[in-house]
Amino acid sequence: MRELTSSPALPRVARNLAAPSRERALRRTALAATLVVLCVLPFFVNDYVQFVINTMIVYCLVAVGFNVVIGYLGQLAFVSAGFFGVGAYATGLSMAHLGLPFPLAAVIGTLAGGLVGGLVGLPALRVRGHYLAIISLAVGEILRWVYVHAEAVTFGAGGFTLPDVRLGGQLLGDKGKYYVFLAAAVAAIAATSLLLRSRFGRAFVAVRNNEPAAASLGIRVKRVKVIAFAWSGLVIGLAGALYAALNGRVSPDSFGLAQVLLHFAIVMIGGLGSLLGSVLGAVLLTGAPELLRNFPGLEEIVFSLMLIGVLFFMPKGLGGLVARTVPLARERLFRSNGDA
Amino acid sequence: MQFTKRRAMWSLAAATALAVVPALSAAQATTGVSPDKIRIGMFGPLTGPTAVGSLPLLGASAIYKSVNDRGGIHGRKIELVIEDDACDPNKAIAATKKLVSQEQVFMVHGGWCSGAVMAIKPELARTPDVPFMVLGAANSAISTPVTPNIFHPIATTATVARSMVDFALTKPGAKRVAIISHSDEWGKSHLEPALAQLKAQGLESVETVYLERGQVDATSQVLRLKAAKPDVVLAVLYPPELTIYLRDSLKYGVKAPTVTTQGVSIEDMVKRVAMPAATKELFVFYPLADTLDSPAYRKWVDLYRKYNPKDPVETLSFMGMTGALAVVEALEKAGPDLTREKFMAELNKLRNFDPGIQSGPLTFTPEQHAGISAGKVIYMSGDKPQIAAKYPASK
Amino acid sequence: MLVQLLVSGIAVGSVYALVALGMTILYRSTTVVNFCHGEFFMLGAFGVVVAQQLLGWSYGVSIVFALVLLLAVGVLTERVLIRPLRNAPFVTLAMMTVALSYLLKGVSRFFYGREVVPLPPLLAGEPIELGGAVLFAQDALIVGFTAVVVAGFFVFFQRTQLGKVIQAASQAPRGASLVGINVPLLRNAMWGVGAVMGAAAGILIAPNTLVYPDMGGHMLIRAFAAMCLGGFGSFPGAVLGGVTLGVLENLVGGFVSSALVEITAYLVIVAVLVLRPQGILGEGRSVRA
Repeated sequence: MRELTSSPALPRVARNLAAPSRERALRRTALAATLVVLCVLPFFVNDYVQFVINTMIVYCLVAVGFNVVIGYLGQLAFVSAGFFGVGAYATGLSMAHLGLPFPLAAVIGTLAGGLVGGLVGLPALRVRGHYLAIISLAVGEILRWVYVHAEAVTFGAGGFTLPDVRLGGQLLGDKGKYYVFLAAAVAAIAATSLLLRSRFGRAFVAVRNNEPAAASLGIRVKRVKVIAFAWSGLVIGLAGALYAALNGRVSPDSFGLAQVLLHFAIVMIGGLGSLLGSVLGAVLLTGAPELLRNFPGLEEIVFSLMLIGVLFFMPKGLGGLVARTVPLARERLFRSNGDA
Repeated sequence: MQFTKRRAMWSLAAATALAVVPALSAAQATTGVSPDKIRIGMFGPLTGPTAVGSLPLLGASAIYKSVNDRGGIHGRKIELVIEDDACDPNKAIAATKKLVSQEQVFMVHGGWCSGAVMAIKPELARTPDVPFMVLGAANSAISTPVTPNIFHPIATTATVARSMVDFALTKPGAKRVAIISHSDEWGKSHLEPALAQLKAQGLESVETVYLERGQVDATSQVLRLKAAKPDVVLAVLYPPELTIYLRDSLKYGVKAPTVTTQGVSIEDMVKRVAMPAATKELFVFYPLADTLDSPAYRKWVDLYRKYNPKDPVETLSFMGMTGALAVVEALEKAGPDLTREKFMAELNKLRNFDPGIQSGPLTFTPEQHAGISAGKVIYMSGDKPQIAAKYPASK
Repeated sequence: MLVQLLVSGIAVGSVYALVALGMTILYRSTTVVNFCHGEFFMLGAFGVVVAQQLLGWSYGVSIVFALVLLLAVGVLTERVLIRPLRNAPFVTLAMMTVALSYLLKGVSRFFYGREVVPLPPLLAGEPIELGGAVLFAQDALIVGFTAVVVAGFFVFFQRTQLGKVIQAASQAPRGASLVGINVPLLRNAMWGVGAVMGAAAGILIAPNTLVYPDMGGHMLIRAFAAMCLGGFGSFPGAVLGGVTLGVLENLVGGFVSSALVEITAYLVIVAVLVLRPQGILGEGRSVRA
């Protein structure tokens, strides 16, 4: 067996299959090391950097959730700002109107996102391609109009401030929020990873690559699509709940076209269909504007050039780059559109 | 192979940890104050769709720079740290945290967009020792109820709206007032006080219509207004939409005069609309003491131009200056032994502070941080801008 | 009031129609949905501003400058950004146009972000009375220009040889190149034409709306709605959809509520795509999946 597996002529896949335990052990060590670093991080940074890191975590979640729909399921639906807003508003309004504590409100926000996701998934069945893109944009803007005009419920165009965010009675500061966000994000990303590795995940990819073929294999395409949208809604809804807690404030302006484009850029630059890429993309695109603070006016230009560069030279995004250079971090289902 | 990889992982982890340790700033007795410097943090929309709101920041920074050129305050020069918030709440929070936690500034002077300032209000409440002077955001909710470290040297939207209504009612026989507004937060924060002021006079808006940013045509809105036969129309609109409204109201024959909010300059509006008949009856709430071409204002215009030679000179350019002058005044009065508490105490003692920039005197008391409570209106008389407190008799 | 709403609805709708027509040209020739078209619109207006105010040229020359500039921009965009990606999934192409729109907006914001620039109307003057309605000369110009363009399109595509060649190239590219038609060149040219149309719409409406970097985003959605309503990919559909949308917005604002004018276009999009996805005039079009 050793002789076979050490032969370079064999494809990488076979080599991996033959020595999985070593690679798994390495991966586990790397993950553990990363987690340790993440846990002690707050002791080394000031409030500002902490706030930026918290923002990064929120956007990691958004990217992972969005990737399920546009990367794995392969449907171009600009739904992320909609789910994000629903999660944020549901959480904030539960706290403001009903006086619920943050953990419960966040669960409500997450579920609301999932519900809207499932609802959006249904008409998405009938509409394809660029029609889906346009209608999802339109629905997002209609939601925003509702936030502005349903003043009695949503406090209108000015938005509203959240009551204190507490966990078990304790007021959460930036560092406290960091641990909560981190825990939530790790759980959600791990769950997503599990989902993608299950038969559902394989079904997503099958539907993306060839819908009729998938149907002929017995995959219930409609159900799969709705599940993908609903899951995306859950994860992005959770991100929205965290976003509300992060800023302490929810207002309609935060959930418009600019937000959708940011989410899109994160997923594209991170790499469609790559969870690690989503995380890297979120970190990069949240950190870059902070680093560009000394060069105002360049942010939009740098962003768009980055995106164009990625589209030309790295269509698999950062995830693809990592997969090529750091085999340790390669993911199993990472195959973007157009791959065999 | 195994060893190198594992080692690489650990050194990567260590490097990451070290990379985020911020540069330690020198320990100081009072944050942001050193024997020769006072660090003032500023933020505003340097970029983004509302970048026109960076003009007040330029004006205020011109004041600070001119103070430096005259030798500073008690031997200390003002060092400005300027951040961009692009009118986004999340960015505004990041900018404020950066200024306070990382840049260790003495005080913050910033905020053009009310949404952004409202977003950092909880943040400022958590650090009540950091003084905050609002740059130009006008929402009255910023300073009502009063927060000890937030000072508001701007005519708030409530003041502006009330003045607009009062002025409108000085037109002889005016009873029917109609309103056209954006439905965003800026519009709402004018609309509500205006309606309240009308109610206080026993009146209601005969028609309230919404025109949104980016719309290219106001026909349906203007026709509805016309049908309501208003005596005066209050327009709470940004410059592009105000231009469309004025043209369309001329086109469809709405004969009522238009009263609009601060932030648009009358000369620029006349130029943009390019139809004298449409702007003949336009009255703009004027937050400044005099017209930009008057001799009394010459020195401010020159000051602005000296430090910002390539930037537009508009009404907005001067709206941050009074706040800056108030800061300078309080810094002087606090003396060479400067602390944040002393600084804020001096601000709270400002009575009828009037350097001649703003339309009314500025007063701060511990209970009242909305410093300006008056304003006038400006209009085109012939082809010269003219300030008025009442509807001109000649019309 | 109804007559007035209809008349000005047609005037505004003509602008939507022009923008939608430009987008349809691009879609028909390369099956790319151009999310950057609003910025072509904006750049057309800025082109005139820059030529007039920075270079001091006359209005007429400035307009020609702006149109030529946008022709070049369209051609370059197709050659440099679209053609290399022609085999990529449509998500990539769509994102490329989005990235370009960001870039163009960022650049114009860099230079003109702090102001709102006025542009004098091409035809100034007092309002004109027409039946029960009132118009500015500029409005009449917009409607007239659109009518001329639409008529020109019809004549060109249905009656001339070149028009038929272009139709062939867009409907059956392989077949067309087999008979010797230079398909890439035609695609390139069509992008130039589409961009010029977007610019023309911007130049016509800028005197009304003033010129600022974000003026394109709003127009993009209206054009999408027009195309969906009239039939995605159909030229007469784009015109019909645009004019109908303009009238609809005015009617909703006049008779229902001014607060709804803002989302009329979005509601139209949702209604059409749910009830009758092919639009009023559309036929089934192959979707680039």
